[in-house]
Amino acid sequence: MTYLTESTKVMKSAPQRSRFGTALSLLWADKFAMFAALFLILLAITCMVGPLLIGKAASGINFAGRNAPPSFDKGFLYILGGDNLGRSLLARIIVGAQTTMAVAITAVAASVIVGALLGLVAGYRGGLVSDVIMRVTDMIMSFPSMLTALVVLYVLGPSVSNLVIVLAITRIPVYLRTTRAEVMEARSRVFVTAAIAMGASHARVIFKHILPIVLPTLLTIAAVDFAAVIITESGLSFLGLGIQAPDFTWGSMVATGRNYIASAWWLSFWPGLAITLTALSLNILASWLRIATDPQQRWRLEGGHNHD
Amino acid sequence: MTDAHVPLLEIEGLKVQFSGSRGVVKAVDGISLTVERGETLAILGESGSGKSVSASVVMNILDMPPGRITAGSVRFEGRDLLKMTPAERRKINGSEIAIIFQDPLAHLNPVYSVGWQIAEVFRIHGRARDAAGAMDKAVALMERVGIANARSRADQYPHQFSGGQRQRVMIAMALALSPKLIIADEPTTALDVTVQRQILDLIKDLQREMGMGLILITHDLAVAGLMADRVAIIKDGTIVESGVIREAFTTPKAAYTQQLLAAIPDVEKSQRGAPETELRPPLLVARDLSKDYHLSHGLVRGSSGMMRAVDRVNFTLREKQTLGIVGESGSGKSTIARLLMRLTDPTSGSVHFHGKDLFSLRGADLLAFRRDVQMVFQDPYGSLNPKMSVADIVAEPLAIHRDILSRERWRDRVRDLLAMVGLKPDHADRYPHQFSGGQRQRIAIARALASQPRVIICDEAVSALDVSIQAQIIALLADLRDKLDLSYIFITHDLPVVRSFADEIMVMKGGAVVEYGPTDDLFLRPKDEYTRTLLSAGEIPVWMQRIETVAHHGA
Repeated sequence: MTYLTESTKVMKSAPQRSRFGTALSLLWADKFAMFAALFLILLAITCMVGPLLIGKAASGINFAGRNAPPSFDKGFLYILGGDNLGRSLLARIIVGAQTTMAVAITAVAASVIVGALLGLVAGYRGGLVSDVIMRVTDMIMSFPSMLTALVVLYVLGPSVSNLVIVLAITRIPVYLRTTRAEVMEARSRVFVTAAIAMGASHARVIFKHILPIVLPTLLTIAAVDFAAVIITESGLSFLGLGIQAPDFTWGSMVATGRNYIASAWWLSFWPGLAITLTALSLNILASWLRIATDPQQRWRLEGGHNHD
Repeated sequence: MTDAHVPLLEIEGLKVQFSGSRGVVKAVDGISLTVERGETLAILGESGSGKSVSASVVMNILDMPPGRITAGSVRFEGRDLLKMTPAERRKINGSEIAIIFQDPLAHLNPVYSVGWQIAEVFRIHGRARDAAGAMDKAVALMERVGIANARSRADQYPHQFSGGQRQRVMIAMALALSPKLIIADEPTTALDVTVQRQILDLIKDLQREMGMGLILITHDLAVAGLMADRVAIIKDGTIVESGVIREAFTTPKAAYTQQLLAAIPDVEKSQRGAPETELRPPLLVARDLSKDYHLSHGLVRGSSGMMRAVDRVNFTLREKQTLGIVGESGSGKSTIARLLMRLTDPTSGSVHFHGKDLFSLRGADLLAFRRDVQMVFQDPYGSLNPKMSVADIVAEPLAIHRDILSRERWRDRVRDLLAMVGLKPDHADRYPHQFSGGQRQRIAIARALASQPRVIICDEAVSALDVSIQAQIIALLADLRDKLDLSYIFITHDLPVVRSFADEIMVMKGGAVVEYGPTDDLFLRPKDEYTRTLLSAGEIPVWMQRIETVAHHGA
């Protein structure tokens, strides 16, 4: 049987490792992704235990330390300097992480889930349902998102949950349109037709065949969106419609520091750096995930050896 | 030799490598060949053999990197093309050497009219005084390649032309500046058989008329046999056999040549089911099956028309038999497949499976039907989900129809199925992209077998495969039919392929059946004119038929 020998150098089937073990080894192969993951784990721990350990320092006003520059002389709390009321920037970044993450993660997650579900329906069903969903999306998109946010928050009143809702609504169209386009493309693929011909239910076709094709794209957009959501939130907070003092987020810290940018750059710089690092880590991790979940790309992470 | 004879094109010791992330691949590994004026050389090889790469070196359209020419020379009328400057080569390309591609749609710009694109060739090389002059020349060329109403059609756009006409346009562009050498890279592979023959005749006529050298790159032995004076057979980047084509085919020296010749669909070696003793019970019966599609022209609603894709078709598939449905593109054969798979509903007519009306099946009955009838698609690259492992793909029917087998036994069943289609059980953990086209089609067949179906519908299931692989897949299907008591509906555009395999053949044209009957009757005593056209178009040259029968009787 010559046809078998042509390309059948059977790859050494790796000893059955657990999924977690495989994921870990794929992560190890991409050092950037590994650091990104470590950073995000650190951030998660900070969000959970930070406010308990250091909460007092974040709200302790100290006029002697107003706009204190970063230095090692005033103890470890003032390594990053102090803000306009002399509060430790380090402590505030640690405490602010919790609200920042809570708002951004819920907003992005909500917009991805709602956008993806509506996009799946619109792309899979087509017809009138699709038309209605798409026209509503067009309406949301044609409004400047800041204006939508202002109006909604003015009507509903500023609060953390309303802020999340507004942020989610303005981001939904992006996910919805992307999902719909990709679903329509995936639907016409032969393997989807094959699954339908085999008797697969709609749920199976959608979740087993279409969603895995669409998901990596959505995750990549979500990672990029994360930073955008943090910035939009800070903008709204700055206008007095977002997070209200005494609550604060990284975004509102950047906004506050704006006034002092010429004399005390560190007020905006450190929270800004925190936003950047978080967004960057998510981005790197999302791109790693896209490669790791794609059988045709995965070899790049598996030591680069040839499979054929 | 003092007045040394200089061939038109002489390739010597050409080596081309591709370096990718997966290491270096030697696509062309030391090829030498010559083409004389007025001569046709066929470069024959299967996909991945390096035949197209060598042509792209001559035309300077090789992607570099990743491609790299590591050795050799390409001399055109004695001048080495590889040592020329890009500007010099551009002057030769198009005016002295021209190429005809496989897929004319991909090589015509959709936003310019066809006439404009042909005229552009004259303008680029400064062969026309003004735009109007260039257009006149373009129209004259379109007439020469057999496009009716050339003057008005010159203003039309590529999508308004049929596949065959587009290929004529490509030929017109290639001929525009009366080149000395034409490279035709699979010029007819994407076309219907009857159109294919017309295009080949056109190329041959033009070549004779203008005395050009022709390099014909093809995977099709019949095309090579029809057109070429000499042949070079390429495998894995090296020439395994070359010489005058009749000699090379009649007394093949290389084992690979013999293998290729043996893969020509063969009348003598029947792979049909057991000879007919009594009429077997009918399994799938179609009566007056019709399907209309609504067409809408342009943006204005109401100006929509109706297209009858399938027109009152009747057929009966009996147990353990194979029904071949043959037709060219647009004949309605694929619509029949979609109807039989319940992927679309008919406009009128009925299909009965085991006496039950197919189109009134609902719920559990429909699910049971989807278990009994499976399908193998044309494109083995598209029909397997790239994100699923082979094990998941083959087990999918088991996951859909949960009552077939308990989950813990899926793995064993998958391994059995893979073995049954000639793959290794270990392949279960791999992903589709790690397999060749033929192997993928085996995976698709394994998947179709998983639910123990009664009928498998093969829609152009071997058309995308190399000839030698085609023969293997057909042999596999025949073998499985006998072992598992399967029936097939085998849809194809290629009459010779079904001859050895189908018990009955139905020839379709424009949605209607033009001839339907036992295979031998149809081949030996075709009643319909269209069937005869199809048969003669798919026929291999007479001299090749002779060597073929000799070879098989000798074997």
